Amino acid sequence: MAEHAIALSSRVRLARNYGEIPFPAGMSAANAARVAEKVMGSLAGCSGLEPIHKVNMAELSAVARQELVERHMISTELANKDEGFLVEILNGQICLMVNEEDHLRIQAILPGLELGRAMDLANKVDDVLEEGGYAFDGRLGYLTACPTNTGTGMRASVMLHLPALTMLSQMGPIIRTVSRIGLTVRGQYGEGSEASGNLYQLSNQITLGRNESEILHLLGESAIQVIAKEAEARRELLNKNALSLEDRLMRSYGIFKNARRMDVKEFMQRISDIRLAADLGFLDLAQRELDTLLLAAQPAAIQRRLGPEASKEEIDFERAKLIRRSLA
Amino acid sequence: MLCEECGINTANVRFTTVMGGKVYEKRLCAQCLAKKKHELAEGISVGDLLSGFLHESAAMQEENLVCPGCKMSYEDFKRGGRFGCARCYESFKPYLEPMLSKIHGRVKHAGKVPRAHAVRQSDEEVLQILKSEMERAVEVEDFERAAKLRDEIKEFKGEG
Ligand SMILES: [Zn+2]
Ligand SMILES: [Zn+2]
Repeated sequence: MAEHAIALSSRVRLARNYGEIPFPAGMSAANAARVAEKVMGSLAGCSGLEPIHKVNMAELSAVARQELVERHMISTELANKDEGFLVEILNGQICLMVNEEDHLRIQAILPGLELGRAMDLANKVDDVLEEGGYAFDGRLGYLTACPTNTGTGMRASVMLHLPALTMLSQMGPIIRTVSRIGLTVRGQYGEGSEASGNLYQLSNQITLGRNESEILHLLGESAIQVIAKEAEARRELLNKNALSLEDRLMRSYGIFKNARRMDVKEFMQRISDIRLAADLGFLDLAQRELDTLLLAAQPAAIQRRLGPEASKEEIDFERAKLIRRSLA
Repeated sequence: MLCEECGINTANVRFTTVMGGKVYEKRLCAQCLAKKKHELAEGISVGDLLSGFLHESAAMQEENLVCPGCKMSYEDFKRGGRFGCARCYESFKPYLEPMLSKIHGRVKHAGKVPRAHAVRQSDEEVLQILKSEMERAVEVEDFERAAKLRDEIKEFKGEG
């Protein structure tokens, strides 16, 4: 049971603002354009960081925006901002959100537990963009729209798949413990989202008074400990009754192969079962296929393929079809 | 963050209880909060207080400051929880440190510094250290050391 089977992805996000321009919330169209000009100018002048893809929110349908949220490329907040846009850099490893809550949200996303490398990537883009003149104070650090980001402006997180800890009702105590050391646990879409499919985001809460590597170290070590606890909980479940666990998980596989319609809530539960079954060796399925399916079967992803008129029922039929095809 | 009780729903209230003279704080979802309140109602008298995350005011005289940069008032900020521009940090300074210290536990940045600020900042800091050392030397009447430090400061300023 490798670490990467439990840690699905790592992300480092840096919040930055240009000093002379009001923060996005109260910003005029002219100022939004100034921010855009600065960002694109800095990126254009730097070889290796050429934007591979610029996506203006104003030009996307609501469903297309939601699909980007499902893919963790943008936040719900950006999806709701017409003046906002996304720039994908370095083969999509960097998703730069512009004019979200802050002028810039530099996000680096990598599979597995890779906080250090994600930080390096984010820093690389940050070093280029800082020529635009950041809002920075010697005492308080990077000045952000929300005081919960002041200082480093850094939010780092690890997405963890924790079915055994959830089954054994151990998530409450873990959330309590990590909150004491300045970390927090959120649902899979971050702030304000609920936990579904046993996916949790472990991230730093504190951004002021500690430097980036201290925070990353604390987060990385804590992630490793939570991963070890999950592995321990899985062993406990196996020791208690391996056969009944296998039976329970494989039933989800049976349903995946045969269901003709499935809503997203059930899908999230079952795909968690199947991921666990694969981790435990009950099933021979590559993690990558499950990761692909996880994104492809989300509501907006399906809706975008079927068109805006598709009913919820049609989406649920299509989801089941998609699942069967991907397991065939 | 998620509820510290059930670990499933989003925590949207801060729940504080005082038991045996000790303050316990948890972040809970609405369901768990209702459950907790019910449990407590049956018990002893408890000093519990509820508040939304950012709606705690600093325990000081509040005058309604207005940021000249973006025209946001401190009242606006308290309502929305977001600053309007970078100058708000300067404009709302009297309230800033208690708030930041409540959120982060510390108030002094310790991380990355943009290159444009790095040089100026370290110069200022070095100068500040030299000055306070000189003042301390004067205080303890170590005039020889104070004179030396004064020369160092002069030299440092000359170079910068
Ligand atoms: Zn709860
Ligand atoms: Zn302001």
